[in-house]
This record gives sequence, structure tokens and C-alpha cells, in this order.
Amino acid sequence: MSDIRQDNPERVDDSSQEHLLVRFWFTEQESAGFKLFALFTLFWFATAFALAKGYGLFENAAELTREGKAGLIVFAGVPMILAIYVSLRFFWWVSAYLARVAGWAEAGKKIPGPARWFWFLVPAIGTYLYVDPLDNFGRLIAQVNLVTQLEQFGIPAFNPMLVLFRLLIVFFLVLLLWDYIKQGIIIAWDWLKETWGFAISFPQGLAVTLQCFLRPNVCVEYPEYRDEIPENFRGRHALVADERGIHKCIACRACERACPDRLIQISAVRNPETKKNELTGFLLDNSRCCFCGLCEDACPTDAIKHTPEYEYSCYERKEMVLDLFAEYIDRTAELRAKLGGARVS
Amino acid sequence: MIIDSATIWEACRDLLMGWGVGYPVAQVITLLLAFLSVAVFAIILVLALVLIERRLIGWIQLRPGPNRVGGRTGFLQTIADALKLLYKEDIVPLNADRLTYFAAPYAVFMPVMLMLVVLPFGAGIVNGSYRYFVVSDLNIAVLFILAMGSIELIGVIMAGWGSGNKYALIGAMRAVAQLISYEIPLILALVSVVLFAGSLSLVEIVQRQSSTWAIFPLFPAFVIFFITAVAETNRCPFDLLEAESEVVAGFHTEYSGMRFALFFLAEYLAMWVMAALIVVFFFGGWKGPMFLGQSGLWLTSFFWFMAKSFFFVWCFIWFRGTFPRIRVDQLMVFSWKFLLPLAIIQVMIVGWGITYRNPWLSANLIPRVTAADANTGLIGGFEYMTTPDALASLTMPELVAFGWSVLGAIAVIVLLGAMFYRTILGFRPSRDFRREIELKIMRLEDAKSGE
Repeated sequence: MSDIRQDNPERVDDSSQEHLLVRFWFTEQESAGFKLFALFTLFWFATAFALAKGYGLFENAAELTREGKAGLIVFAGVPMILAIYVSLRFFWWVSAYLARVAGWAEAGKKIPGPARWFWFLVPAIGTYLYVDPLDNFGRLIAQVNLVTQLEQFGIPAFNPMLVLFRLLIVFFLVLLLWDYIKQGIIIAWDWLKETWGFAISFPQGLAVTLQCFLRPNVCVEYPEYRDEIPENFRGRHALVADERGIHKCIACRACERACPDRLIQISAVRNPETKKNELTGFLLDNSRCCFCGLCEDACPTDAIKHTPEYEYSCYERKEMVLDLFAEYIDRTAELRAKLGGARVS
Repeated sequence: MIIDSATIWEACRDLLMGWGVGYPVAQVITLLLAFLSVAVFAIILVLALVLIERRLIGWIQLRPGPNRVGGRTGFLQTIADALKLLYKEDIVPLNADRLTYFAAPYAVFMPVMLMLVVLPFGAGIVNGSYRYFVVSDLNIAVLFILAMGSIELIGVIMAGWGSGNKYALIGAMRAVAQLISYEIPLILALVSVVLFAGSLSLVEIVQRQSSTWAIFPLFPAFVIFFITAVAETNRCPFDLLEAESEVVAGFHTEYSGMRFALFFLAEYLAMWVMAALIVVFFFGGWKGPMFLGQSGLWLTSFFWFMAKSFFFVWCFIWFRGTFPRIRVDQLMVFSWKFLLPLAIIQVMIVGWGITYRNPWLSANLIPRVTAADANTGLIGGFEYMTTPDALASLTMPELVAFGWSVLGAIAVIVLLGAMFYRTILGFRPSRDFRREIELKIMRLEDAKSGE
């Protein structure tokens, strides 16, 4: 493993997203500032909420003066902003983690956050919230009354301002979290593609087998019907005879040497007159033959050949040892007799 | 809708009692007749099924299948096999637990036979009254079938334990793990059917599908039930317990002769019973296509029931010819992480539909809610209504919920249509695989030119 990493310096072993976790827990959370920040947020939020509830501010917010509303916003808004910031930091980390899990981002590459101009929206929204020209907070709190309405009439009344307010919230949330939403969509799309490919493979397989099911079968039912066997099929061996019924073997034993299974045994005698080897026997153990055709290739006179014959099952193992010479003599006896008793050896 | 819940065997008993036979004797005679007819049907069915499976698998694999015994169709093949098994020696392993070993085949076979008791084969007008062809119209038939399916497990584990063979035991343990895992989505799929039909009786579930087959509103439940049915009958691709390459033949490794034949019989009978249950729960049982209308003829009901169940038998065989065996972990993950959540969502959807009086999710069986009922919180009763009538009686939120269900149905149809298009119309293996090969060649050439 270490060697591979040295070869590819770009490749980082990131199978366990440990470094990310470590960075989060020990650089961001462990920092004193972050801790203080989180504690402060929690404490302020709890206090502010409890005080507001105790003073009945939520119920009577619609009747507050503008300054009172501003105070409420500041009082409740500061912890809200802090909470949003903390959760954003968390989502920042989570999105990077998700992107790494999906293999979407490069190792060590920073995930782009919102553009810098985006932060100018914060004072703009803050001003809007302070002035509150459409009395949105009042309407938000008036929602409490809608519950009564629902109980009385069964159907909530349509409140266009409330819908606008909610749309505004959704819009700003989308704007704020756009990068994370984009990453989420990409991850979800990848997942969907993968799952779709998985799901589609089942009906695809079924379609293939259905096509096969409807096709006529390709079987040749053997004992009754036989296929045409090509001439170059490597079946049982035979000694080739020429037109006069004479074999071509010169007993050079090249096939014996070429045979990878060592299953050919040739016997020959030297003719003192012609001073040439003459074949007297050609044994071949067919049970061990791998039908590689090397004997055919090695033969200088093309005397041995694979025939298309493929039916050589028998009852005893010793029957698999073919006596090719005897077979040749039987095969050509008639021809040789007709041509005037040509010598075979 | 339901005219008379009497079965044909009750009519038979009444006939006997009319001739002056006493009640107990008439009851016993009719029960024996019913059991005999079902048993003979089951044996003939299994003999046919084995041959059908071998032939169809052969055709899928582009070969003719058994075609020697009894002419070119090979219709005597299974009879020859059965005769061979009858003459085989009955081997008992030395270290077998003899009692469990001998009892196991019957413990596997009997529950499957008992499932046939509640299966409605058809209905027709006999002597002027409407009769169901079912041995017993139990009002807890769904529970009965689930119970029988679970009892089969005991037989399997008995066979595995009693054989005294490690492969048999591993196979049996696999079988039990698989069947228990797949029983839960199966039951949840059935829960949605039961909610839809409002009854546990198979006859009534079939009768509730007069206006629409349950497959249309409950398509996901059908998919879940089909897959779990394949798993419950231990067929490919869920035949891990009989994986030849891992455990020799699973729990029946040591069995031979007639005992093995009993396992075989149970397996194939369970296959047909599952197909028949799919038909009963989702395809209107013995009812023909809706546009043909109802006929009081018992022969047409038999025909439709058999045609539909054999179509699903063919589907099982098609699955076996298509899919390879899945791994053990994939098996469990598929059940617990895919089928189970899907089944729960389906049950939630049906429950939501019933709460909002959705006519399509409650078999057009609309609860009557009057002003008086609204005060007490009780339902005044149920009423069969056609869809337009039911829609007219709904309140505004209920109509909105119905609209959402229609949108969901459209989404599902679009998804499945896309899948169908991609599969049947848009997918040609020769072309698509060629494109892959061409891409591979292009990539190779790019790599070459890059060097």
C-alpha cells in the first residue's frame, strides 16, 4: 500500500473520513471561541425565550409599538442569528463530508461557500426586519388565531400575506444554502441514476429471457439428427492414404516428439535395400489426447490427420488405445488389392 | 354484492341430509369428498407442474426440454420419475434423529395441503343459489394461510436437524432465516389488502374486487407480495437453501425415494398455491376481466382462476430462468432495507386513503358519516358506492386527499411507463451492447493515440 501511495502522490488514503472528523472536532469545536459561542447562544436563547414567554410578548406582539417590536427583534433575533451561524458551520462541515462520501469533491479541495456580495444582504434584510413595513411579525403571531379558525371552520383561511412571508423565508433559506442544496441535488441525482440502473436491469433481464422463450430452440437432437461437421474438425486420428492406398508415414517420429501428452508410439524397421524406415505399427492413446493438433503440424509428410469422426465412446479403457496402422490396413485393403497388391511397408 | 356465503360442500351436505342421512354422517362424507377432490387435484397438478417447469425452462434456455417419455411432448416424464422414486431404496442415515427424520416430510407437506382448504376455486349458481367452490370459507382465512406458511418452517428445520448432516442443517437454518425475514413484508403486504377489502375471508376479498382488481390501487403491495412469494417458495433467485455449490441440496440432502418425493410435491404445490394466492389477493380470484361482466357459470370461474394462476406459475418459472441466485447478505438486505419500508409505506398509504374515505383505496366501500355519527365519533356503517357517487359524498379535505392520491397514481404510472418503454421498446441488447463495445474500442484508441 505504501508503495502505491509513493507512486501516486496525489492519491490520499481517505477511505475513513477520519481527517475531516478530526479537523471538525479538534480545530473548530475545541477552539475556545467556538465553545463560548455555542454556550452563549444556548444560554441567551433560553433566557430570551423564557423572558418573552413570561412577559406574554408572543401573544401581544401585534399590539406592541414599533420600538417595542424592534426591541423584541433584537432580543430574540441575536440568538436566532447566532443559532443560524452555528448550524451553518455544522452544515458546512456536513456538506463537505457528504461531497467527499459521494466522491464529488477532490481531496483537500475547499467547498465554495456563498459569494462575498451575498453578505451585503444581511444588513439589507436586517433593515427590512427592523422597519417591518408589511407587519410580517404581527401576522406571524396572528397565526395563533388561525388555529382557532381551523377548529371552528375546519378549513384554514387563505392569508396571502402569510404565504408571502413564508415564501420569503423559503427564498432566503434557498439563497443562503444554495451551495449545499446544489451539492445535495447532485448527490441525489447520482444516487437516483445508480438505483434506476439497478432497477431497470431486472425487466431488461426478463425481456432477454422472454425473447429466448419465444424463439425456436437451437437443439440438434443427437441420435436422430446430426450437424454437419467441418473437415478441419479435430476428432479421431487417422493415417492418410494417397490415391493408391499407400500411407505417407516415413516413421520420423516427429509427432511422437511433438505430442505434449506423449501418447504416440511408433514402431518401424529399417529396410536394408532402400535404407529407409518403414512403419510397422502406430499406437495412439486416445483417452489422454487433448486434440491440440500438434502431431498434424509436426508431420513433414502430412501423414497423420484428425478426422471429423467424434463418436469414439467404448466400454473399456484399453479400447481407447487406437492402433492406427491396423485401422489403415483395414481401410485400404480393398483399394490396394484392386490396384495390384501394393506394398504398405 | 355478496349474495350467499354458502359453499358447494355445504350444499352437498344439505342434499345428503335431504335424503335422510344424519348430520354427522353427512358432514363426514362431504368433508371426505372435499378432501379427496382437493388431494387428487393437488397430485395431478404437481405432476403437471414439474413437467411444465422443465419444458418452459428448456424453452427459455433454447432447448426442447424432456421430450422422450410419452411422445414428443414428454407428458409421461413425471410419472416415470415418480415410479422411479417409488422403487428407490429408502435410506436412513446412521446418525439421523429417526423420529424427526421420518416426520419432517409430512410436516412440510401437510401445511401446504391445508392451504388448499381455504382457497376459493370459483363460484357459480347451483340449483338456483350462488355457491362458492371452497372446502371451507373461513372468516380468518388470511391468518390461517400465514399460520400454515409458518408451520412449514418447522418441517424444514426438522428435516435439517433430523438428517444429522451439516449441509442439511445449514440449509435448514438458511431456510428459516430467509422465510422469517420474508414473512414480515409478506404479512404487511397482506395487511394492506385486508384493509382494502375489509375482510380476512378469501371469498370476501375476491368479492370486494368486483369493481376493481386490487392490483390497481395496491401495485406496490403486489410487487412485494410477488417477490416474497418467490422467496417463501424457495425458488430462484432466493433458492439459497438448495444452493448446490454451497449446501449440497439443503435440508433434503439425505432424503431419498418417496420421502424426497414428498418434499418435491410440497415445493411445487406451494408454488401453485402462492400463484393462486396472488390471483385471489390482487387479480380478482375467479372473476374474469371486468368488461366481460359477471357470469353465473362455474366453469368460466374455474377457467379464469386456473388461467390466472398458471400465468403466475409461468412468471415464477420465467424468474427462475432469468435471475441468478443472490448472496445471503443481499437476501437479508433486500428484505429488511427495501421490502419492509416499502410495505410499511404501502400500509400507511392505504390507511390514509381509508381515513379520508378514498373510494379507490377502500374497494368503493364508503363509511356513512351522518351528523349524528360525527358527534359520537362512530361510523354509521359501510356502503358500496360507485366512484362518482362516492366523490360526490366527500367533504373538501377528503376531496383534496383524493386529488393527491390521483397525482400519486399518475406519478407511478409515468415511472412504470418509462421503465416499460426503456425495457420493451427502447432496449435492444444487440444494439446497446454494440454501443458499449464501440465505446470501449474508442477508449482504447484514445489511450493509444495519447501515448
